[in-house]
Amino acid sequence: MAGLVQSIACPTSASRRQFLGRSLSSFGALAFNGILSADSKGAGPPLFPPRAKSVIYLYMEGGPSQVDTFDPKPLLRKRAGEPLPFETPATVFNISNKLMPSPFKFRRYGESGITISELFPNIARNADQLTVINSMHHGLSNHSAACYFSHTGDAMAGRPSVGSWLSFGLGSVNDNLPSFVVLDCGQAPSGGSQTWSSGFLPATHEGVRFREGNTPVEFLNSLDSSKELQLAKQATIETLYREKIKTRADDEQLKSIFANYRKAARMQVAVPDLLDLTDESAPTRQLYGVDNPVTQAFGKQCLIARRLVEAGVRFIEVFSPRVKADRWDQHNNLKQGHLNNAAAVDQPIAGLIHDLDARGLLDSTIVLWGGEFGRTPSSQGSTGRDHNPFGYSVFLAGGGFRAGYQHGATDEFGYYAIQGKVHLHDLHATILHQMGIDHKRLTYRYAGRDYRLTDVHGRVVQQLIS
Amino acid sequence: MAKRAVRQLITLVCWLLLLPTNQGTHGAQLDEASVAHFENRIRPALVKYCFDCHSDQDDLSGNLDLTTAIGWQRGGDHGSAIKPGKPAESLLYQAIQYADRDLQMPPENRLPVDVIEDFRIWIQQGAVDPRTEQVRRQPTFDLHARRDTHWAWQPMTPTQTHHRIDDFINEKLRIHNITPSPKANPTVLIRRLTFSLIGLPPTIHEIERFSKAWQKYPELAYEQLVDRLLNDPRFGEHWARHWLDVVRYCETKGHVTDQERPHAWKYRDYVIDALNDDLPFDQFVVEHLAGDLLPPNQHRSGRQGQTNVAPTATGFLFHHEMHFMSIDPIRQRWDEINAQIDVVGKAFLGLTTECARCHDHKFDAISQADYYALAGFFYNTELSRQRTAERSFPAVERRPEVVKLEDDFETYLRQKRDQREKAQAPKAAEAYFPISDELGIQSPRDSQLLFAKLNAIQNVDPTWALWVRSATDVGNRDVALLIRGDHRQPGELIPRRFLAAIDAIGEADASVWEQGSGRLWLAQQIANPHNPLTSRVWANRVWHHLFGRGIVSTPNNFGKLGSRPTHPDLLDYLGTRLIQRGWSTKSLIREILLSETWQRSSQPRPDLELLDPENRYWAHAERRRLNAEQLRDALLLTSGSLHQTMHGPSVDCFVPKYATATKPGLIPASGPLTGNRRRTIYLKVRRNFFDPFVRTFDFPDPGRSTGKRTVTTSPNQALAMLNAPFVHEVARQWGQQLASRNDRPTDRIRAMFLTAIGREPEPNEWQTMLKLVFLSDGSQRNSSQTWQDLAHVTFNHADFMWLD
Repeated sequence: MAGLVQSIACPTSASRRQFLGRSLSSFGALAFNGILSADSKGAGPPLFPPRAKSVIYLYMEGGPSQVDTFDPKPLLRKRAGEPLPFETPATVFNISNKLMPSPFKFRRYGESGITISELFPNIARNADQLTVINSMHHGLSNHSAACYFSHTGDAMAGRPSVGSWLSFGLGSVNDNLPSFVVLDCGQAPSGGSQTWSSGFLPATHEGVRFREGNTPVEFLNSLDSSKELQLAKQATIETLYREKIKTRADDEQLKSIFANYRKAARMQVAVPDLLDLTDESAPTRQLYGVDNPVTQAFGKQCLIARRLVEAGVRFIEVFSPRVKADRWDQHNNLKQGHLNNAAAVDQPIAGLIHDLDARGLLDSTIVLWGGEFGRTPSSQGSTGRDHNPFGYSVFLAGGGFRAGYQHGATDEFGYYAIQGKVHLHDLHATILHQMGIDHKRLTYRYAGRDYRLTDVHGRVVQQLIS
Repeated sequence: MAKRAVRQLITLVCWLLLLPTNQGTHGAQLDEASVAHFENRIRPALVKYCFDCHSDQDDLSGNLDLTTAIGWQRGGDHGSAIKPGKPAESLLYQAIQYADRDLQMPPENRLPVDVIEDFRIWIQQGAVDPRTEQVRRQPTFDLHARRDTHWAWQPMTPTQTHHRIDDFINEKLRIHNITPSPKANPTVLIRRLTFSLIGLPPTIHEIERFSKAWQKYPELAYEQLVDRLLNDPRFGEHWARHWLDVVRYCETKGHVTDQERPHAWKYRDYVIDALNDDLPFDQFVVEHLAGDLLPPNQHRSGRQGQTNVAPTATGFLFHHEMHFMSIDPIRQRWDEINAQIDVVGKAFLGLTTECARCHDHKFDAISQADYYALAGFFYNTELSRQRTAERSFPAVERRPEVVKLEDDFETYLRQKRDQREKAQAPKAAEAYFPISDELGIQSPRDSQLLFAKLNAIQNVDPTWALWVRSATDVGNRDVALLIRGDHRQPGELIPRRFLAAIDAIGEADASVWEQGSGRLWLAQQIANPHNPLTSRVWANRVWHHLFGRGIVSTPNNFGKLGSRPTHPDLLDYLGTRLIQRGWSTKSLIREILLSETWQRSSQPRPDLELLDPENRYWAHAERRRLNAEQLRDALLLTSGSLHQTMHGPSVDCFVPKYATATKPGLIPASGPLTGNRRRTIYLKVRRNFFDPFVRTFDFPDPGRSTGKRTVTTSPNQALAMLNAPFVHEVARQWGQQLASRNDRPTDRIRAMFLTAIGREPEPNEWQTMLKLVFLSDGSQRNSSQTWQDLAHVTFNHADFMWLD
């Protein structure tokens, strides 16, 4: 059986075989005739003891400006209005010219003295728990390409998302929930649904979107007029399956499909339970800003993210919410746009980090904050900034990352990363490493090649981890 | 002492072999001061700053090994790393200086100034390097050796002793001492056959007629059924979708705005008609690659009056995704060419040619030069719109206002293209570079303008809709090999030609290259009967679709990393038969369906657990889950709702209210929940907002060519069958019809089972179903709601979704 699984559903490379190790037989027992069961526990144990079990990716769609958040450049004030003194690659609009100082004040916070702008007063209080990277870069200037790259390591759609890779590599520890969950506050990222696609990995590893509102998961809610009717129909369907199984005792397929009906029924209970926040205490709700209209949308999702971590979900992605301005993509009116976007997420993120810590979960959970790129230090028009994928900032917390540490630097204008440069591939490699996976060994054979999240690049950035 | 001398001798020999012109620097090697400089300054710096990525011979970054002198002399992908005596011309020195943004080493930090200076001095003084360890010999790329040792490149050699498919299959079974399963019963066969050929279940009437005929002359009844279904126009609708997977058919461009491609659906109709007409597959190939270049005597009229449909086929070169507002159109152009090489390689040859974009193929007999030889054909090809109907509608005068609008439209496209070319001209490697007109319309504003112009023309002249997306020649130049696939690093010019490993075909006349892209020549090479791949690959796809697994189980990859054929002789037999019978796909399908092998029962065979657990030898048939289209279409047909109109513009996808996008304006208008009750092949294939129900059942991502769909079973599918609004809607429609019947509940349940799963209910199934009709007090629930519930339950029956 195992051989079949290899030839049909799984890659056959030596590395992959090693990776699967002993668990292959159990994996195989659940697959038959090329049908992969969603119940498969993934690929077995990680390669080395993991530091983290889950990832929460707080994705800031649009591209928050590094020089207005975590990477202060006083020189921009001194030379405000002057052109950048060096040539830059083409940008999307190609009209950035004059240096524009940040409208926001910066301060050093905590014992670590990490510099954070006034946009994030709450996150700043967690400064000593953060690993800020000021030297991110990848070079892709448009939203969707950078969005795909941030998620899949490739600029075009169609590769598996990092959450799908982790789901594939590590499997789920919760039978009633998917292992890759996408929390959508009403604003999808620029890559659309392919952002959380499983690409060429089995569809089972695709991110499952949990939404606000009455239909939290596609097709989760019964449309039957009454609970009794729903149960009566389910019972009838189950009876038909049981009878059928009696006559085809050898039919593993049939048993697996039946198992899926049972799991679907369990999900119908588990998901609403998980999304029901009424049992959260008032202080907790306050911590996340759940009852404040400004922070409500994102606060709820952060709180749900914590509950998903508790339930053992591997990868949770939270997209930044819709605010009274465009997403973080401030080609004009940067000040107000960034204020609105920051206000919607600052308290929820601070609350999430604090809450994870208080519950002893932060150490085993990687929190990653960042957009698809940063913004130019020079202005577009007089009040906005264009895209800049050559030097930008992200931060991490928990999951064995080095707390209270600021890594790398951009040039004196904040345009190019020049010191301790961290490519997106490097960040992916480091996150997989913390999850117990060697990024060079988590491969999937597709179209004659062993694919990796990090393509043929990436290195674990040791300085980032403790 | 002797050892040292030998070592020096080896070094000398190596240097002489590798760098014959640098003999002079060898003298410097003996200079003790230089050795000291290396040992004290350079070796430690290499270890500290470079070895992380440039020392592990299994995983060398850029293939550059810095652990030994020969490593940097030979250099990596960019060529030799150091020119002794010339720091400024040495790649390594340029990289550590951070002079070029694209080649900065070490990547994370610039080296301290004094270290850079040490390297400068070292190189200036001749780059003396006493390290004489050999680097491991990289296996050299030997195209001919690879070709000669891999089965797929060899000519087809059908054996003479076998004359039927079953002979090949049964011989293997005999060798392995396996008894084949008996023939499936007629109710199983008609269901399996109907789904396999037209993608729909048989009707009650068809089942009954077949059963009757079977009682008298089973074989004749079966054969007649095969022929009837092969001639059913719904055959094309079902089989076209198999091909659309392979050519990653999509009607939008993807990325942020997911703009639509007007007229894309005409390609889909082309494929449906080509399959229904049993267009010889070699001609299908030629039309795909060069339908726009065929001489008038090879034009082919269409079913809707078009004088020549062949150019429509070339639309398949342009289904790939497109960046939104790309800042590097040259790179994007090469990505487009790559997408074309990729789809041509996989679809027709079962080869991963695109793997040779940056280097020689790692496993197969495809060199990087092969890749750029092929790239030349597509470099000189662009998307255009061709008016295929002009001559077929002589009565329709091109009215002046239409001509004016068309001119306006073409001028607009030209302007956009010129603008972009001008913007990029200083950066382009060459002044001339074709850029598809689609590249010119990238902002939402441009797109709106374009659509407005298109609509304006169609409003005035409805026949304008008979324009199609087609390839057209725009040049006749060879392209340069791009070092590491980087368009900023052109290497030597590679003349256009076919893959070097397929050499049975001969050289082209020089005029071919002067006339244009040369695609017609390429098409003829691919469709040539001496090409060992094309007919095998197609025969294998047909087998794959009929059996659920190919003789080669990786239909898109016949290369070294693909699977080997389970029955090589059979594959060659089928490939040869295909050619012998004029490349007729329907004849091939017919022969396979008439084999015993295909008609075997799918009952599980526990006795084969050890002998053949994977059923490689086809002792029995496989149970199969309906694919997404079969499932949705069966729901529509069973419920009596299916609208069987063929062809035409696609139906917009249903977009649920809760759909989200970056901006609300980017969410497309929703189509009707039931897709106008059309077959699934007529749903608009969008990248960003495709029908969620269909996607749940493994409809493939159009971002890539899919030769074999992944088949998953998941709780999401159970949820979809239980709760999808679409399923409830079709259950409601069926329920209404059932409730209005003037018969007993048992008659209805019998009819439901026959319609939905092609057989009578079993005794226990009667009981279970009737429980939903009668309440516990014995009274009867007999509203249309009851029958809707029963319909819904029936859709969730294992035998509805699975084929025996």
